[in-house]
Amino acid sequence: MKGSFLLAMLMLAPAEAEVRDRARAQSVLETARNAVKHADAKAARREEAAAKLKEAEAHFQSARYEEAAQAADGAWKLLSTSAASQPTAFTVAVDDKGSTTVTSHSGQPVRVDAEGVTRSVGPNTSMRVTKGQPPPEPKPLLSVPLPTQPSDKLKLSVQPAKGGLGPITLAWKAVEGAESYEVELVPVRGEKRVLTATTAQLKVALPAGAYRWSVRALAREARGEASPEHGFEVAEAPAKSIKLEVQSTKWK
Amino acid sequence: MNVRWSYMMFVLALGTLSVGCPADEKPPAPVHVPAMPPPVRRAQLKGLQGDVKVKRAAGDEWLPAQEGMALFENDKVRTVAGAGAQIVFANGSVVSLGDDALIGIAETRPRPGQERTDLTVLRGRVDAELEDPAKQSLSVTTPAATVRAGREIVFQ
Repeated sequence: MKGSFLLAMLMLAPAEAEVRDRARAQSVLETARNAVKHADAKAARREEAAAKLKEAEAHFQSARYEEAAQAADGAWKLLSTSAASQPTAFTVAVDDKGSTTVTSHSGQPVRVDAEGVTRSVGPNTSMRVTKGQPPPEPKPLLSVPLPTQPSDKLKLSVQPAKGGLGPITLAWKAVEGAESYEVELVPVRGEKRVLTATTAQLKVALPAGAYRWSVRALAREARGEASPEHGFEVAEAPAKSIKLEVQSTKWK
Repeated sequence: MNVRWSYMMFVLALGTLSVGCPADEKPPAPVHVPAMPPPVRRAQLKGLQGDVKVKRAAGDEWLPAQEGMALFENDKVRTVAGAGAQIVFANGSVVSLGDDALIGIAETRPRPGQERTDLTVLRGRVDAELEDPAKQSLSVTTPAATVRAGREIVFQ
């Protein structure tokens, strides 16, 4: 029993070390490949980094994993010098179902690993990973819609309509790539409402009062940032006066 | 091949030592088990806003967070609606925690020349920033993916 255990250890342990080194080299190589792929074609040391990466790939093919990892790290380092001058900023958001949205804002690309697949998310791109699925291709970030109507802090006098006063038109500048928009309308008194629009405007009847609102662009796997909040006030327009003219009559 | 042979010799030597112990030998004296090392401080809570709570790795209770509070491996931090906090890691990387979020300070695995910070986000949003990504790295794990930023590995 003891003998067979020792034999198993003899056979397994060095193989485990090799597997670990291979995995580490693979990970560093993947990072270097992404860095070279996303590097500006005119970047000063791109050619040098590409050559270093080629060297790393050759080491890896010959099972020289330590050398492969070192060469790949060297390639990454060559390209990271300029990108490293600015901080790497990114956002990770997890919803109730565990799905994860990764957004890169600046600096170097971040790496997203799920279900054995690694993808790179470069600055100003975003990806949404569904739980149990590999990461999809990242998509360009949706820009922030700019509210245009009503102008900020405007007081509106409107006629009664079905469901309140209005309709009030909320409008904003359309965003390229947006499939719809989400409008968040917050009354000073009352509960927040979230409305959806398929064009760059929304007509809504509202009770009298003060409101704050913001809008964000949506696409299939992207959710843009919300615009800065704007405010407006709604009041019922005074009833129009009716001029009555009574003519003298011949009746007595 | 040399590595494998030296390893084989080492394991065989261990086996020989074990086989060589006589069965009627007196039981060995009780071995003194050293106490568990104290937990290592991984990060610090700053910029607290609203209701932020912390659950220690060894505890079951959610405690009110305090400005400058130290965070250790496997501690959890929770924010409610309208709350927020900053988590400043020992290597300088900063993570801003949004409202209605739940995160864990994961165990870190330092490598030569590199301090690696790991964070688990179970719910909510975190904004992370690496001031010097050539020397820092940050690994954020969620139920769906692992996100890595900064340098993959640093060689001596």
